[in-house]
Amino acid sequence: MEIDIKKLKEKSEDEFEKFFKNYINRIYTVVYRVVRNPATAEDLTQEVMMKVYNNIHKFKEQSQLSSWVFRIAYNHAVSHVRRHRSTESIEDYDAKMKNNSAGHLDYLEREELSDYIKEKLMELPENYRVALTLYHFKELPYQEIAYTMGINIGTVKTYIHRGRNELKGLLEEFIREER
Amino acid sequence: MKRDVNFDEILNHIAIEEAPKELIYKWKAEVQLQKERKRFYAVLLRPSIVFPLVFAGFWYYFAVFKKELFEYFLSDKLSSFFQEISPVVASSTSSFASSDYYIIGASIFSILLAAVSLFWFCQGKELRYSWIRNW
Repeated sequence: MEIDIKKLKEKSEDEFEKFFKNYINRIYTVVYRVVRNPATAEDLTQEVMMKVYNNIHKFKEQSQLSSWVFRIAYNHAVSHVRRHRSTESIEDYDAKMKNNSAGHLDYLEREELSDYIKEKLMELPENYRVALTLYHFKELPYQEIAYTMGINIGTVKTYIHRGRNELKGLLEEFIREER
Repeated sequence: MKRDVNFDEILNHIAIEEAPKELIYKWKAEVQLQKERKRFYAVLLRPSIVFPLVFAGFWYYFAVFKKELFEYFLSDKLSSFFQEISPVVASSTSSFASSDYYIIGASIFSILLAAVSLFWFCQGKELRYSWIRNW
C-alpha cells in the first residue's frame, strides 16, 4: 500500500487512517513485545498513534516511515516500562506464566503450537524479542532495525542470533526442526 | 513429545500480534477531541494577543512620557556601565538620550519590540495550550 508522506504531513486524516490500518498490528506488536501486557499495550498504542499524528512534521525522511514509527513505539514503550518497572508488566506476566506452567504437555494439547512459541518468545530478554519481532516483520533491513532500537547493526545481528538460539533452547523439549 | 516445525516459518507467523479493532476508531475520536480542544483554547487565548502590545506600549510610555527616567539610565547608569567597557558606546548612549532622534529611535524600538514579542508570542502557542490543558 502506497502512503503519501506529503499528505500525512498535511494531516490528512484519510491518509493517516490508511496508514494506521496497515500498520496498527505492527505498532501494537512492538509495544506489546516490550510491555507484555495487552491492556497496557493497547493504551500505549493509542498514545503512539497520537504522537505520530502530532509529530509527523518532524519526520525527516532519512529513514523509512515505518521504522520512524516503530522507533516512536519502541521508545514510548521502553520509557513506560522504565517508569513502571516494579509494577504491572513483569509481575502480571510472571503470574500468567505461573498459571500456565502447570503441565506443558497438557497446555500444548489445548493450544496451538504457535501460541506456545509466542509465549516462549515473550520469555526472552526485551532486546532479543523486539529485534526478532522486527526482523520477522519482513520489511526492515538490519540498518532500519538498528535505527528503530537506537543501536548499531552489529548489535542487532547479535540480538537476533542470540534470541533465536535462546528461543530454540526454550523450545528444544518440544520441537524438532525440519532439515 | 517432539514436533516437526520450520522455525522461521513459525516465527514469521507469530511475529505480528492482532491489535484490537477499535484502536483506529479511538484514534479518530481522539483527533476530533484534540481539534475541538484546540478550537476552544484558541478562542480562550485570543484576548491574550494584547500582552505583547501592552508590553511594548509600557516601554514606549516610559521612553517618551517618562523620559527623565530613561535619560537617567541612558546617560548615567548605562553610561557608567559602558564606560568600563567602551567609552565610545558610553558617550553615544548619553548623546542619543539628549538628541532629536531620541523620539524616533524610541518609536522604532517600540515597534520592533512589539514585533519581536508578537513573534515570540505566536511561537509559544502550543506551549500555552499545554499550560491550560494541564492547569
